[in-house]
Amino acid sequence: MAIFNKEEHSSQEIETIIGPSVSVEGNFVGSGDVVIEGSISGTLKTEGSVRIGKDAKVKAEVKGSRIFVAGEVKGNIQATSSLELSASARVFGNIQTKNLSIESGASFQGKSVMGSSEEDKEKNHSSKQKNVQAIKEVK
Amino acid sequence: MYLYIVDSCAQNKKFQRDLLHIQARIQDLGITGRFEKLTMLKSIQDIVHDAERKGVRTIVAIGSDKTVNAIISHLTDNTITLGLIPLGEEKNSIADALNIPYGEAACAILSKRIIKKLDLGKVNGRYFFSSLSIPASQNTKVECDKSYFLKTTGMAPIKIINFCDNGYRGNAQDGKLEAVVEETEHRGFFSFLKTRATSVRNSIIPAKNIFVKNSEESVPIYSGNDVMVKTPATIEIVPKKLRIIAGT
Repeated sequence: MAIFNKEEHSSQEIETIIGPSVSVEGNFVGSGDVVIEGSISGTLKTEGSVRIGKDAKVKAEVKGSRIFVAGEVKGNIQATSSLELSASARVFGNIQTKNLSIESGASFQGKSVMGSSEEDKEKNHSSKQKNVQAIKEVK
Repeated sequence: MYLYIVDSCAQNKKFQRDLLHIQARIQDLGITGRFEKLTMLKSIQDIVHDAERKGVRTIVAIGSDKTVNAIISHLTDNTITLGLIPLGEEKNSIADALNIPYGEAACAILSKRIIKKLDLGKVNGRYFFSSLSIPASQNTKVECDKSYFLKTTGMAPIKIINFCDNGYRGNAQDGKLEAVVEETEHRGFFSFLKTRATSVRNSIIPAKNIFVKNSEESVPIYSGNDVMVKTPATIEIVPKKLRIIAGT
């Protein structure tokens, strides 16, 4: 059906765009890709990827699958798949991801944890199981 | 039972011949019904409410996007099916999106009766199809999905889009509205004297529920050029509420 005509600007290309003149305050929860060129404060969670533009100002906890940062982020970042900080990125907060890339020139103040929390849980769970098995064997 | 509503834009002498051809074609296809012409004394609201009382099953808009949006804004019965025959010089982007050809050719689409169920927006209890426009103001607060606020520093209005608005086309089957803010950047020397607004990437924020209020005074919310409601306003999506005849 022509409702999905690709020639026109469609919301299906990118689900959410927060432009330079827009600021979002509160808890933003999405399921698709998010592009931020404006400002956001609070929390930002999505199952899709997040792109934080050069002039963007983010004062929020950010969670997404693939996260690219070129602007300023004050808050923790959790990327389930990968996190990329470009040369213009300024990050003040802790980061957690599986794959991390930091370009020369980027500024980052905080702790970095590699591996997702789910992986950690699995590791903890498997090590606990091993311990239990070891105890059983000893008995 | 069909009811054909002929908008004033399709009553111009230029389109009299087209209208006669449409009437003849409707007769040939066996989808005849009552014709109501909009006049100063007969409003769309009266005609739609009268049709609902009489149990009309299909209302066909002969005119433009404006006609379709006006009919939908007065519908209260969700079992009515809407048809469209684009006629006149005004915008027909709804017909284009639904693959409905101009004039007489649209009658064949009507007789095939392929019905699509599309989302409708609802603002303070009234339905809308295409979009709404909220004028830019520092005092206007827009709350989305009861979880975050949207503020804009630009002069562009916030558009709430369900189906289409000025080249931007939403998806009326996704169960979401989209708040769209057109971004402009000012370029050039002495830009404060001569601003040339160039369109950059617009803000698009999907939401199911939007609450708009103004801290100082009640501001109008427009559907096209007409004031539909005034703030405070609750805008929500009603999925698959509209039954509309579409082309293949």
